[in-house]
Amino acid sequence: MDIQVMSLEKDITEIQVNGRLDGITMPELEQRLEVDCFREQKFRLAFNLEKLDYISSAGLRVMLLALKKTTAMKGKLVLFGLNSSVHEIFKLSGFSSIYTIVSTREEALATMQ
Amino acid sequence: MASFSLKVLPLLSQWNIIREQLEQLAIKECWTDKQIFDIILICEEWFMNVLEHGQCDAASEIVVEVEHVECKTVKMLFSDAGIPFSPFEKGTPALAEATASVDQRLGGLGIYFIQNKISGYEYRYRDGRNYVTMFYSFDAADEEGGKK
Repeated sequence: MDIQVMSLEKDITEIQVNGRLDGITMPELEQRLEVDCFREQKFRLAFNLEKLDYISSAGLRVMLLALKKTTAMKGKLVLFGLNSSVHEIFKLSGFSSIYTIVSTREEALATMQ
Repeated sequence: MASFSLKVLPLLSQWNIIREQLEQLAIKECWTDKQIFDIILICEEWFMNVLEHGQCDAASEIVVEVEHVECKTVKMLFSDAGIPFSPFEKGTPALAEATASVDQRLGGLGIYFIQNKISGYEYRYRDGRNYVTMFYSFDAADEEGGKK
């Protein structure tokens, strides 16, 4: 798994997660979020999942923790670019109803304005 | 039809060994991206469930056998020396029940995923070991995909 964290306009942070988010890689994302976002008081997060090939329940767990943290800090969390299999997992788990999921970065930024 | 069989220790790091074998089998059998995704998901969720809840001795082995048994069916057998546990005897858990546990590292959501992906299963406990066999049907997955 490869993770890129980038600052965008209006205090929005884009987190690009590439590869596999499973039971083995999940702690790496959890740590990067803690160090690069939450400790830096960044709670407006746009997850770029265009290159995320796979996610399991372990991966959903870290996404849920991120949502809880941003919500508690009155921030915002948006997901964009999910492939059909990853999107299906969000739907199957019911998580698609608690996340804002859009197709493109432009839509994500517009949602966060 | 191709297959593989391997023995691994009940350690998180061993998951990559299983996954690599699954990916090699997928290449041999020309599975689609969705089929690979589903089969890896089923196997990961079950393996993680055994690690989290099986209370396996650290030196005990988990046996994994995956076989493309017929044209459109994949059979996945997991055997472990953990506590007796028939994963699906309670039926499919309610979604709310499954997701409520996700942030406590419990296996509810993983079992929920498995039950939504498999077409059948068998469970037996013999000589101190659990034997869980799960079947994945390409036809059932195609029908499920067609509904979405």
